[in-house]
Amino acid sequence: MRPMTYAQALNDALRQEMRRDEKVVVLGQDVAVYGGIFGATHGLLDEFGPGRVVDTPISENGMVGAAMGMAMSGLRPVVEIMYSDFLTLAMDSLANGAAVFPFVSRGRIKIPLVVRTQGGPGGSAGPQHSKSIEQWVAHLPGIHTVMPSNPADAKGLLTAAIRSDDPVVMFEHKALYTTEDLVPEGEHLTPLGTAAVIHEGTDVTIIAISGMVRHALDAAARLSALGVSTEVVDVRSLRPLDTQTLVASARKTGRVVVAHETWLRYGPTAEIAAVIMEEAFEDLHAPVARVGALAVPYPASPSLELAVLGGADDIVWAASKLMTTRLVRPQSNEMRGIR
Amino acid sequence: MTYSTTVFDGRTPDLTELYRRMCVLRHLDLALDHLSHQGKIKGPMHLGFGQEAAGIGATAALRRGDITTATHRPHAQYVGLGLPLGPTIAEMMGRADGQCGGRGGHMLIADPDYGLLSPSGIVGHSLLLAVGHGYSQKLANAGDVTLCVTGDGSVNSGAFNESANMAALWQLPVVIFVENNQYALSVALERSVHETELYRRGWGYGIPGIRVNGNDVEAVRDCVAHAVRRARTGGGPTLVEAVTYRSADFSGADRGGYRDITEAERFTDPLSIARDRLIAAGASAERVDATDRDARQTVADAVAFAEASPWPDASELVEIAHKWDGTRI
Repeated sequence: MRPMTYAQALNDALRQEMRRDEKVVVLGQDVAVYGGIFGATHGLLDEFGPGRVVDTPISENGMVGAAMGMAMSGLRPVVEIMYSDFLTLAMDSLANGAAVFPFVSRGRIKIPLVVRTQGGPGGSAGPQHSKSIEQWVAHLPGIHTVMPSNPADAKGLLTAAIRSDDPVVMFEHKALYTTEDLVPEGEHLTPLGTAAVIHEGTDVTIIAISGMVRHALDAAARLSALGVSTEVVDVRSLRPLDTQTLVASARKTGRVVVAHETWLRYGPTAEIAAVIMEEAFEDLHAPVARVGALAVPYPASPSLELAVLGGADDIVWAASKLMTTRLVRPQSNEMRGIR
Repeated sequence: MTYSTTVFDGRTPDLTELYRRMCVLRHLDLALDHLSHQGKIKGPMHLGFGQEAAGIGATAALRRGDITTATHRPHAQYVGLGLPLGPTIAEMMGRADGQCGGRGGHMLIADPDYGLLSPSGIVGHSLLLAVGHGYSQKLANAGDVTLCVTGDGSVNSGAFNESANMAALWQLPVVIFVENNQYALSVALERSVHETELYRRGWGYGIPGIRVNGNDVEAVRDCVAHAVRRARTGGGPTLVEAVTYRSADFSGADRGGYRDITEAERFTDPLSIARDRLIAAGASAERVDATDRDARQTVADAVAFAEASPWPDASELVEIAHKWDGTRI
């Protein structure tokens, strides 16, 4: 284990996989000479040369579409899309191509494509550079959607993504690139499609995604001070969703808050809440609570952006309400009539 | 990646063979039209009547290891690359013996054994994919090329601009073959673009552009062969515009009413051109007719194979869905 930032962990994964397999190529805007706007591809051009580390024109659909074509014909491309907001321009290649061709060909065509992009608010970047559009991709069967919340998972998930024969879209978080933590040296894989219980507790479960995980841990500490034992689950993969881990925690505590940075309607919090209602209803002491953003585009002003976002305060408030529900209605049988 | 197939035998097909392939394509489309009207093929059906020479001529210059991308009107590539017709028709009928077990239908028959990694019904995809295939081939440095079949409708997509630029920028071994059939569904070319000489677009990207009579199968073969040779030897991409005419409706759902029927007279049927040329070169009319008859029989046998094929088993889909939903099974 060695301390690394999230960006360094990504760089470590790319470098190791490019050394391991000459079919791995990296492409994107500003990834070669400049090393990526967050530094994730720093130094790769020097080591692997311009054939494998490629600066592309500003052609998002072209980049992802071409990378899909590379993946179909023997390479293992890793494309960087600078902001996930720009991934909207490449949705055609993902939704009508990468998600479709392997299925149609019954697996004879494989698309070992990785798209790395970053989203999330918190930088006053305004409504075109702060969005979380992971649910657009996660809606598509045929594509893995992963969201590392820490440096070790950033390395582990990227390594697993590069080695996967399926297309993977990895949503990194702009506020996390400079965060530092211990990362396993050498080969390190985080299996795709797995959630992780990162803090154990017995009274309430917080299921958190990407940038919201740090707020969930913060909330857990504050709830602990209030005498509430809190479990935190990091979703890590939106698709496939690790329903077993999520449901097991919900059954254990009987109270669940699902927290994500983006809008609630039709998003991952709704999906996860539905899964828990379907699979753990008998064990719930209260309805599943959700924390997310106000349904407006992210404003640029720091004060307005804060007002739009959910955070640790909202999670603590939501969890407290669930605990209160228990005090008022202590018999879980009575709860089953609710909603 | 290497491909095993019988169609790439190392020889450039002569006019006799090209005529045979065009006859097979014509009879295939006649049969598919019939099957559609009978309701045995559901969904859209984009036929290639009138465009046989362009499609068949384009794939004639390829060899094993080359890759072809294709569009929503891909039957010429299926025939030109030599895909077995029984499974091809079965796929269009949604039957179990189709190459994709009925998952793809007529626009999406992927068969890597023939260098056909996936046609696509999305206008512009063939260009995007060709850039990627070409990039792989350039890195592999084995002299393989990608034939990118696309249409006049695609040149106005963003994908065309992005792909042409990248193909030129990286000097990829790609031949961009624009089948200009004059229409994007109901909209005539001159109502879509101001500059109707589409090959001229290549020069804006630094790609040589050339225009060929798309109804003359030998001219198409030779023109594409030249572009393929350039690509194989590191000369980079070429844009070939094959001027032809879609005598077919756009698809089975075409309501018509947008074309002057006399405009088709500007174009001679590509099979007639080839037939006349064969006879002028000394072939007997009986021999040429026999080629046509044999093609009809080949297609009839393939239809019989497809009609006998069972419906596919849906249980595989349940397993796939469980994988992607994350449900343990």
